[in-house]
Amino acid sequence: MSVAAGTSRFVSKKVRKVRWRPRADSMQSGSDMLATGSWDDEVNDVSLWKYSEDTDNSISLLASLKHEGDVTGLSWLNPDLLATSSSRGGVSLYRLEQYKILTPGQSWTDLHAEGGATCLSIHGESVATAGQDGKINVLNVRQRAAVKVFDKADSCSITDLVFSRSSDLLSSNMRGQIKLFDLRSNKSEPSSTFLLSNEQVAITCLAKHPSQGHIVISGGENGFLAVWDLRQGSHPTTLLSAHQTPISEVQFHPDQPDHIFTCSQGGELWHWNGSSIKSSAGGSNIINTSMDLNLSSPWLSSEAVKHKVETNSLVSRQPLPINSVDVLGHSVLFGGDNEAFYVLHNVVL
Amino acid sequence: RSIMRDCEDQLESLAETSSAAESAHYTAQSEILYKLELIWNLVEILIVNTRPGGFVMNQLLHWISLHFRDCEDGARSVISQSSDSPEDHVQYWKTLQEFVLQGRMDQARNLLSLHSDFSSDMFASMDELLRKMPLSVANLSMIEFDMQWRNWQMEVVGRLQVGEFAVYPELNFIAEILAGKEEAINTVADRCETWYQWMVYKLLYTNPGVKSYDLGVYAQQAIDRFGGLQSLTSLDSVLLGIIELDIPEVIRELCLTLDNFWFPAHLLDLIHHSGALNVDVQDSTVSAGLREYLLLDYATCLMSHNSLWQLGAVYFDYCPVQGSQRLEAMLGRVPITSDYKASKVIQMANDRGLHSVVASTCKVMGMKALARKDTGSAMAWALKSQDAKFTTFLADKLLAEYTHSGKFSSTDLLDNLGTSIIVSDRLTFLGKYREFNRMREEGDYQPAADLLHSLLWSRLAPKYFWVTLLIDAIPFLNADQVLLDSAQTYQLLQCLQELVDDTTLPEKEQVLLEEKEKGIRLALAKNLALALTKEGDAGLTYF
Repeated sequence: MSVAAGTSRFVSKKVRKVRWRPRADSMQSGSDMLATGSWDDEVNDVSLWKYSEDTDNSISLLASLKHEGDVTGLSWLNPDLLATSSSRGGVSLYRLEQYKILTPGQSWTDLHAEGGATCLSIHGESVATAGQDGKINVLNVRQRAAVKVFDKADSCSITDLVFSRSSDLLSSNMRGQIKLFDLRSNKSEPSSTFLLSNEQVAITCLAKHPSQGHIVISGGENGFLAVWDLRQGSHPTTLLSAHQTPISEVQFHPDQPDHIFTCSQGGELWHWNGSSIKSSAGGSNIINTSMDLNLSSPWLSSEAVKHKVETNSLVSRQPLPINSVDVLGHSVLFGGDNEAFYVLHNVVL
Repeated sequence: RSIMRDCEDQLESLAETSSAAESAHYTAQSEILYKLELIWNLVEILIVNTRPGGFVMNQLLHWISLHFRDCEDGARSVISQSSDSPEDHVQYWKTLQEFVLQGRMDQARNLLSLHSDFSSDMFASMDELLRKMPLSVANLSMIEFDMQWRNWQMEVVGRLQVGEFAVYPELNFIAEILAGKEEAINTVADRCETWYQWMVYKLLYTNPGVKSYDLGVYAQQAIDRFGGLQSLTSLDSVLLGIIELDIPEVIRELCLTLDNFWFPAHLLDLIHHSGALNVDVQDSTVSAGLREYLLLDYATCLMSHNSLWQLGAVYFDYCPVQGSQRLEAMLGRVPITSDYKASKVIQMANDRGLHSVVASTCKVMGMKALARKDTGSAMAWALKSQDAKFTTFLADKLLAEYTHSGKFSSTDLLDNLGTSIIVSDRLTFLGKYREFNRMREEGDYQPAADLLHSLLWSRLAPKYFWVTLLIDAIPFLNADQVLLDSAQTYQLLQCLQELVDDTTLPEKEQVLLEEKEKGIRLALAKNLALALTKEGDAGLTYF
C-alpha cells in the first residue's frame, strides 16, 4: 500500500498540465524542477517551480511567463527546452537558462483555426500538434516552417496525440477512433484506424508504453481504460472499467511500465499496479506458448480484465477535477481545477 | 483563515511598494481583512467553540493579544535599545502596562527584570505578585478558581495599602490595576483604542470568571464609556452583535457593509454547522433559508467569473432548496471557448442530472463547428446529445454535399456510426447509403441492389433524394444478370411514378427527373422483362 505524503502549492489559476523536468542524468531518481501551465483565466501562465526533495519538500516559484490562451499541452523536449501548445492555435518554446529563468524561444502561431491546438506530442526534435479543426501539424524545432501538415487528418476534433515511433503518429478523436499516420509516406490519410467501440465515446487521452511502442493505453470519456496492441486488430485488446468520470490523463511510469497512473474529472487519482497480474497468471505461463506476445506486458493479458489489477487511490476524492498527472522516480505530481498542484513523494511502487 | 492572513500580509507589502493611490487601495483592503479576521475569531470563541460552563476569559485574552500587538513592538524596541536604564525608554512603562493588561505575565516579568532597580524589594514583590496571579481554569472548578483569585487580589490590595510601591508611581499604578481599582482601570481606558479591548482588560482584573452570556452587560458598559451607541462603527456593531449572540443582526450588518457575500456566507455556514443556530425550531427554518440565500448569492457571483464557475457549481450543491435550478440556469451560460471546457461543463451537468444543460451545450458546440464548416465535428456533438433534430439537419447537409461533389466528406464518421445510427431516420438513411456506396465500390452488386431497393421502398430515403437513388439504380438494372426480381422492379416503377406525380419536388430535382426519366423507365422495363422471363423459367423447371 502506498502511504505517500504530499506537499501542495496554491497557484490561484486552474492547472491544466503539470510535467516533471526530465532528469539531467540517469543516476538521480527524481527531479527537482517541474513546469505547470494554467487555463481558463484572463491571463494564463507557464510557470517553473523548484521542488526540493531532500530538505523540506518545499515548492518555490522560479519563473512564470504569460501565455497566450490556455495551455493545452506541455512537454519537455530535453532538460532545457519546454514546449507548450495553446488554445489560440500556436506552439511556443521556452528555454531554461541558469536553472532558474525561462526565456521564450521560437514560437509558431496560427497553426490551427478556432479552438486552437488541443494537444502536443514530442519525439526527439519533432513537435506535433493537433487541434479542434482536425488538422495535424508536425514541426521541427530547428525549422521555421512546418515539416508536414495533415489538413484534414480527421473529420472531427482531435483530442490527443502521441508518437508511437519517430515516424508514426497516433491521434485520437472525440468519436473513439485512433488513427495512425505514417510520417514517412506522402499520404495524407491515416495508414490505419482503430475503433474503440460501437458507441461514440470520446477518447480523452493517450499514453505510450515507454519501451514497447506497440502498446498504447487510452482513457475514455466514460472512465474506461483501453489497452491497444497496434500490431494486431483494430479494436482494443483489453478494456478496463476504471473511473466513473472521464479520464483526464494516463501516464506510464517511465522506469517501471507495469505501473500506470490515471486521474479523472471526478477528482480521483489512481495508481495501477500491473505487476500483480503477472504473478497471478504465473501458473498458466507454461501452457500459453503461442501467446508469449502477451506475456511481454501484463497490460495485454486477459487477466487484467478479471479485476486482478491492484489499484490504489492515492488521494481522497477531490471536489473538483484533476486535470493532469506526471510521475518520475517516486514522486507523483498532479494538479487540477482547484487551483493548486500537489507532489506526493515516496510513492511505493 | 490562514489564507486571509496571507492575503493581508501580501497586501501590506504591496502597499509599501506601490504608488500612492494604489497603496491607499491596498491598505484599505488589508484593513478590511484585518477586521474580518477579528470578527471571525470572536465568532469562533463565542459561538462555535463554546465550552461547557461558559468560561471565555482565556480565549478572549488570546483574541486580544492576537490583534493588538503594539506592546510586542514596544518590547522589541526597548530590548533592542539595550542601555543601562531601559526604564527611561519612552515606551517602557506603557509596554509593561499593556502586557499586564493583556494578562501576559511572563513577558511582563521579563520586561520588569530589565529594570535597573530590579533587585530592590518593591520590584521583587511586584514580581512575586505577577507570578502568583491565577490564570488558567483548566483543572480547577469555578469555585476554587474564584477563591484563589480573590485571595490573590486581596494580597495585592494589602501590599498597595501598605505603600510598598509608593516610590515608583508607575509601579503603583500597575499594582492598582492588578487590584482592580476603578480609577486605575478607567484611566487605562483612555489609552485603549477600542471598547472591547478595554472591556476585556477590565474583566480580567475585576471578574475573570465571567461567563459568555454575561458579556453583554459588560459590553454595554464599555461602549457607554467609549462614546455610547451612537458612535458605533459597523465593526463595533458586529462585535456587539456577536457578544450578545444576536446572529441575524451580525449577518445583517456584515451584508450591509461588505460588497460581496463571501464572508457572511461562510460565517453563517460555519455557525449553521456548529448547530448554534438551531435553538428555536421556528428559527431554524428561517436561519437555514438565510444561509441558503447567502450561499446562492455568493455562488451566483462566482459563476460570473470566467474561471471560478466550477467552484460556484460546487457551492450550489450545498443549497438544498434552490441550488440545482439556479445551477442549471447558470451553467448553461458559462462562455465556452473550447472543446475541453465544453466537455467539463457537460460532465458537471451529467453528474448532477441536468440534462437540458447537456443538450444545449452540445447544440452550441455543434453549431459552432458548423459555422466553421466542420460537419464531422458537428455531427459528433449532435450524436453525443442524441439530438434527433440536429442530427437530421446535419445528415441533410451531408447528403447535399454528396450531391454536389459526388463523394462524402466524413467517411470515417459514417462508416463507424455504430449504435448511434438510430438517433435519426435521416442518419440511418445516410449510413445505409454510405454502405451501399461502399458495397458498390467493392463489387458486391447483389446486396447493393437489394439495399438500394429497400432504401427506396421503405421510404427511408427523403423524397428529394429519390431521383439520385433511381439514377443510381440504372446501372444495376442494365446489368447482365438479373439483380432485382420482378416484384422489386414493380415497386421501383411505382416509386418512379410517385415521383413524377409529385409536384412539390424542388426545381433541381424536377429538371434532373425530366432528363433521366426516360432512361430510368427503359432500364426498369428491360429489367422487368428479364426478371419475368427468369422467373417464368424457374417456374417451368419447377413443374
